[in-house]
Amino acid sequence: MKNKKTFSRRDFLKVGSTVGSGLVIGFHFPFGNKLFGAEKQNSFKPNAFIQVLPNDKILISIIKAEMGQGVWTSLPMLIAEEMEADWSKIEVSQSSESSFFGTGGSSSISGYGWKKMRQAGAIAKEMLVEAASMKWKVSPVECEARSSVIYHKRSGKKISFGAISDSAAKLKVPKKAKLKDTKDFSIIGKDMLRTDSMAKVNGTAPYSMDKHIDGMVYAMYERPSSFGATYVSANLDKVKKQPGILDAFVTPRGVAVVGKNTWSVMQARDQLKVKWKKKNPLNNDSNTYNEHMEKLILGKADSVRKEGNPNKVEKETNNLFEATYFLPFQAHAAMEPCNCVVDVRDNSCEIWAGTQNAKNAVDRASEITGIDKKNIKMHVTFLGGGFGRKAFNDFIDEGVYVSHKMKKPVKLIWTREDDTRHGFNRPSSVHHLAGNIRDKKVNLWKHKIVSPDAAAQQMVYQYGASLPGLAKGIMSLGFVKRKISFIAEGAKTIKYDFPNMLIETKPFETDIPLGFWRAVYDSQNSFANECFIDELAFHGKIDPVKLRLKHLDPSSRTSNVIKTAAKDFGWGQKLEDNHFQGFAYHHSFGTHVAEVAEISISNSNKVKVHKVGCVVDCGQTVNPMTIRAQMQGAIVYGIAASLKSHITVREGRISQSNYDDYKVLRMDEMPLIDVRVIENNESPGGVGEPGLPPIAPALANAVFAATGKRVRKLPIMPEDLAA
Amino acid sequence: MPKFEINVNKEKRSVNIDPSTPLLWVLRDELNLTGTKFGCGRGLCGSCTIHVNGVERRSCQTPIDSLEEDDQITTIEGLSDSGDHPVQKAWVTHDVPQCGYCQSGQIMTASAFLERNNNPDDSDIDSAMKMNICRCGTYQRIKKAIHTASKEIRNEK
Repeated sequence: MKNKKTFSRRDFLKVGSTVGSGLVIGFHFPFGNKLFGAEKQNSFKPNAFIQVLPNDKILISIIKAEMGQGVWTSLPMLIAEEMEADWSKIEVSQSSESSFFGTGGSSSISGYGWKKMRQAGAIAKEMLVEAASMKWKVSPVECEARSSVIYHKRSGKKISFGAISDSAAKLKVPKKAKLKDTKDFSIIGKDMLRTDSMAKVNGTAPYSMDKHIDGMVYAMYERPSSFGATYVSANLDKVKKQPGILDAFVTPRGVAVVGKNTWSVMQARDQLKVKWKKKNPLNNDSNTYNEHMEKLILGKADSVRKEGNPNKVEKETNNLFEATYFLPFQAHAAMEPCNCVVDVRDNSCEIWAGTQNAKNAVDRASEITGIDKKNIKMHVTFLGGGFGRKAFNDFIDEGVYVSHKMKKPVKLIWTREDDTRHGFNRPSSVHHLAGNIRDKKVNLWKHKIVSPDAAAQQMVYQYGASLPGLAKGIMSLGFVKRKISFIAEGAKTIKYDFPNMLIETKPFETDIPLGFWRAVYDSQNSFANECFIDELAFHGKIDPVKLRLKHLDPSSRTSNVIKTAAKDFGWGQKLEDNHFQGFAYHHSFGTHVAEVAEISISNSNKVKVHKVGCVVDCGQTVNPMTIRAQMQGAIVYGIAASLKSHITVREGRISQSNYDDYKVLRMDEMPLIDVRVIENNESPGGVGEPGLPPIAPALANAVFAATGKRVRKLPIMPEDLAA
Repeated sequence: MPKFEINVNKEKRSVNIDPSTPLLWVLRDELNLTGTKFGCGRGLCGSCTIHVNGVERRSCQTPIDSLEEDDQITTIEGLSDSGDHPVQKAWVTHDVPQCGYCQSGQIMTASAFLERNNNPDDSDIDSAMKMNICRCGTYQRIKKAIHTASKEIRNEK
């Protein structure tokens, strides 16, 4: 409770009050995360603002990074709704302040945006109304705001937000304001065009890749040839003599080549020969990694959820069914390769970067340069795709090292090959499932997961810079002792109520750099969950949708989503010749999604996806247009990972390099995606990630329907389907 | 360094640069026309698409010395005066962009393609656009926007 009090006292405050600047309200947008709970505010420093200008423009700066997920539209919508603002008067900009967990986990709205942004809007409106009522010497309760104008009905008076903004700026900021009833929403829940589209179609949208500073130099890195390898020697003298090259030197991240423009640097880098000393890393090759997982899957694991008597049932049953699933590593392959612009000076530093984790980047820059964090200014730009990759700031470190050494502003660029080879992959995992059917229902469900934990690996290495010493210790110990592990996310939280159930995890360590990828753990576990329930249904001769429904409360949101998808997308109905459907459902990030994939198999055993029907219940919707786009995007991303792409590692080095060997979905492979959004007033869930987990199992189940072959390994390739 | 004179967005520009430099880096590093994006460097993703004499070309695969003196180069910045080319307008109407990074390239490919075929069906669009990757998965809206733009282009003629 004590914390809560601090929150309301310090949550909103007035910033500046010079006449002509209108009303400026600053607020702190804290970050909740399931790992760490809400961030505590020790000192209040606003990181997001609403400014009502005398010319009626409303400037809103938002703290979440825009990486395509639509926060530049959805978050201002929350403010505009409560503020009764005229949407056409709103201008959005990026705030670059950040805190522990930046943008990720599908949490921009479900985390704190929902209440916080609305509260900020409501407070702004209350102050504007108060100022108008004082001017008219009437009671504020007689005044009403509509579309950026305040009306006093009885006297017929009206005044615009802008015209009263300077007076409102003189008032005290209320601690709290009343929020609108959901039934009165006129902006929230309506399709709203993006606020950043024009900049993104005329070439002016600011990405860090496009930042220019006079006197800026260009840099690239040659990184260790295999994971954990260390620098021995290089032909730096030769490289330095290449045309357009200013310097070449060794940093803790690798060998940096610096020149007058990108092309000179690229060419000189081709001449660079570095000798690396190989480390003998743990499980640094797909073969040994896979062998290790195969061994671990047969051994003991830690129980993370148990219902009924799974072991007893397993021993006594005579119809036990088992299956083992494999998921490969996956890269993010965002369109914009990692890059940043950094300008380190004597006692200050500026950084321009598309990062999902701004504060962490500042902390790390401070550690590298010794410059006080207060003097490091981060400019968060648009991200040309994030998908979890840009939660890691290794690439910003590289720019900081170079600018620090060169004493010049630098643009640090990764090639596509760098981006593919030096990313943080979604872990590759193995899942052993065992179960049986009794009386046409699932009686036993066992799921054992063998996977490294991306969070465990990254916690200290990447995020350590942001953690105070004690927390760092607790976190690392927690992971070491397996008190903390996330690899069962989406497995232990499975929505079906099976009477006998055992979920077990066996995390292990590897030197292969791993990280968060769109829906990470949920993407791994839902493949195993939703394929296995399909297998059990086939075994028990039950329709797989019916089997799911038998294990759900008929009035639950899960049940409703599944029934709606089956009905709307013609589950069990006659399809076009040689077309087959597969079904899957998954709940993640507070949102329920069911998908029906319709496929055919070509003569060359290629899976052609014709249609994907998607039903999503994410509670109260903010911008349905964004929700549909996010579901489509997650499905497209997931189809590529199910049917086309995977990352393999050979002796500590990623084998893939560019879009020719890490293949992604293209226009001619695009199915028709039909998204239906369920409307209700439940609290909002995330939408960036939840559309992804169901697509892989829906496709695999459709492949089984089409071919009778159970492919339990992703991606599903033509050779897997050859007779 | 040799000097090159090139026509970019109807302006004559001159640069002193290594002859092997891809046009992509001339535009971005020398002329500060950063709407043309670097995605793969190997002509695989289409983010760097520009027009040379009205035809789409991968600027990362076009060394500056491969250009003819009278070649007319158009980048996203020069496609229209104020973002009002029918393709750009349709992109906004259909809420196409997400992260937006690939969209300059998508728009340049689509606008050159519609010059050749102003009444495309879905499979024409598939063949024209399959060289442009979008990782956000905006393909479905791109297709709709191209149909909308093609209608406007036909009506203009």
